[in-house]
Amino acid sequence: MQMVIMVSIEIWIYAIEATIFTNIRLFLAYMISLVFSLTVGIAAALNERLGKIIIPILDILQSVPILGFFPVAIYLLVAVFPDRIGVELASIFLIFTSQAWNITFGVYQSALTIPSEFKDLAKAYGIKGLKYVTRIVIPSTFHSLIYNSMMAWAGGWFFVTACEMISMGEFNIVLPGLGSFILMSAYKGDFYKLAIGLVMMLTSIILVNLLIWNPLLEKAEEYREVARSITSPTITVVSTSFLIDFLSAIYSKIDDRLHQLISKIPRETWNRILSKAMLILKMIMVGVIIAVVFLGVFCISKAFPTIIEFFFSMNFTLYLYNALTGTALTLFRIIVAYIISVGWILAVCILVENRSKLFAYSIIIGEVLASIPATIWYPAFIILIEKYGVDPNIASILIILTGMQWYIFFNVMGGVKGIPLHFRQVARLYNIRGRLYVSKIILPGILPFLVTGSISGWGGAWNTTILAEYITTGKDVIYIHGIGGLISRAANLGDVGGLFFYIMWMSIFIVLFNKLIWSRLYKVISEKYLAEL
Amino acid sequence: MGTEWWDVEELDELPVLLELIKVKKTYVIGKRKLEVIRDVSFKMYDGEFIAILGPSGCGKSTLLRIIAGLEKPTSGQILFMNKPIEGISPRIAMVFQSPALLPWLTALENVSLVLEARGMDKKTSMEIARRYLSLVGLAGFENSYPRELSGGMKQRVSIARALAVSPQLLLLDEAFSQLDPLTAESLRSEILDLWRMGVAGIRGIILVTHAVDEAVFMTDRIIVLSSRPTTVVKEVVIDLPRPRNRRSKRFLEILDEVYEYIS
Repeated sequence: MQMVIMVSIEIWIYAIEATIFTNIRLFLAYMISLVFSLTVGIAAALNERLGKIIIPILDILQSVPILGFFPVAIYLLVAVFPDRIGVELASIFLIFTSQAWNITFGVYQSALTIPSEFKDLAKAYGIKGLKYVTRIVIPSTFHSLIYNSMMAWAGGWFFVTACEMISMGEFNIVLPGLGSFILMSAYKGDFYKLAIGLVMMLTSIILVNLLIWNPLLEKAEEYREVARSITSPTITVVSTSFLIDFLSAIYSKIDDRLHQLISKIPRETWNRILSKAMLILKMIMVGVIIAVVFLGVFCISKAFPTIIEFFFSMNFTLYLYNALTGTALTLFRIIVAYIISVGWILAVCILVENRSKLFAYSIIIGEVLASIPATIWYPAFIILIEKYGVDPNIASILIILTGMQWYIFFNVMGGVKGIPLHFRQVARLYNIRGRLYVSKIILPGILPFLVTGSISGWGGAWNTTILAEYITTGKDVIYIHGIGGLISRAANLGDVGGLFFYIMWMSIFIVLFNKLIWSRLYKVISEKYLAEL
Repeated sequence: MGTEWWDVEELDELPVLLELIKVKKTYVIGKRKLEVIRDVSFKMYDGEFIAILGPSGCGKSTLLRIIAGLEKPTSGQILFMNKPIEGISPRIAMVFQSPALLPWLTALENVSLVLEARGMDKKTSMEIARRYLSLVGLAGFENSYPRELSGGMKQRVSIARALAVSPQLLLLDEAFSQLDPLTAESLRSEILDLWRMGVAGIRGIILVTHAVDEAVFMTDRIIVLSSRPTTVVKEVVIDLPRPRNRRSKRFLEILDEVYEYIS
């Protein structure tokens, strides 16, 4: 009896340790994402020339299947750094790539749409440079920053499990963390440990939500002065104003120090430093470009025979045939998952849109559910498919759903909250109810957000197919034919040529799909329905 | 009461604070051209409080934004103390139609921000901001956030912010139009008091408004503008001593006269 208790305490301690590791990984990745999105997003918004370069690049990065590039990142980083550090860096990099683009776009959008009265104010009173950024731009982007950070944090949990257990051909590595803890327990069928792992995960998600994101979101709501339909959508269980005070004190300290530092430097010296820095930056850029070109030429010329050989050994007809049929099947699965997502999300949205408590709870529940990584269902799906003869397509669609629906959910919920108060008042005043209310007021109000969410959701779905069409727990493997499955299988079998071909195929397909369908749809819808707030 | 009656020729002797010479403004939207201001010229003298009055959408706010340096005229010139205005002048301050307070800063921080932006150190700017807040009757509300203040109080913060930079010319862009009538009225008298006391070294005020009554009540002279494309219809000098009585015969006469030009 005593033995059992001892063991269980050890398990708990181990689980807590794992939770801390995973949270540290998430935190580091998030910090990098935060710095990245603030600098890049604001730079792109304030400098039109920079924006023209940055935004298309981000657009492509956002639509490319990150999970597909993960093996490449690991190969590279492990080659440069010692094993463990290399894999740790690769995992942080992967989480970063799952978070940064969304937050950056949010920051960019809100920095572009700073109210004109604030711009006038800044101009009329000569608030410019660093002061303009720290006092006007960053606070203006705060709401979008926090809202997207919440989503990114949930997305981070989704990806963290994928990078704590890595198996590529003979290369197998397990990083200590909650993701690997949960997956190992699931694969071994140790339900006690699995439960502990899940409890730890849910607890840390809920705690982070209640202690950090909710108070910050509440603060962010105050920063937006526009009359909103639901005044207080957040739940405060624990008062954490000390946290906000602490953070804002740090912010203004940094702000002050920066200004002091800059004001100490005489203007002329400052200008000289700036122009010197720009010159050095330009020289570095030219240097890097020359180095890359040289290196590229050198590598290609050196490896040319091998590349040619490799190129001819690639079975293009097979790859092409696989990619074509796979893409068609994957597209079908994604469409089914999309229809399911939009259906239930609209239903929930209409149900809670006018009930602020329910609204707040559904956000938190969504937040928790969104964080549960798809891969923990693998063992269950394998049993269902192999023992009970369930169609693997269903399992695949369900996993795609987990990687798709939450982007749509959070965007639509954000959108319904943004429907101007006077629209609802008009509806109440003239007794517009039921189907008319939904079709004439709610749906048009959320349509632009539905499209934005759908774009992210489809990106998430493509990415998730890499997990959803190749279900493995180490020994059992179920391959479901599709473009994502092809990538996973190629990575697992060490088929570098195939991996390269399928990733490129998928990336190009997604970019084209976005350009031809989603961008156009978004343009049409946002022009017609985006309400003047 | 004709003792303060000055006619326009006599005014010409005074030093000119601001002069607009053939100011034009045309917006180009795609292929369409929208002529907002056709031709506006007038002088404003040192120590004057004038109103720019015109129907809604006549481009009077655009004119004020041009004076403030927020926008460039398509052609024409603006002289401030006999020197052409290029861009934003630190000697001109503006109170916007909406208070334009940053919701993430307290009343005090909103005022001190513009002083800090002019290179003043934090401590001094806080002190000065505090002084101006109490001048507009907001002592005790320094640490309140804009959302905790009423509409009138917010506009007071905005006025304190404009006064704090010690401008020589103060621009009021329909500063009372978003307030309820009672609040607007008390704020009007407060501005007049501040003006008479000669606070902050202000040498002239321009009020943009579409309320005839407000213009006649507050200012020394009204520049009446036509509807778009804008030209100057008439300049009306208001020869009434302050404080003015809205029911006096002369007040009503001037009111009628101005109404005639505007319609």
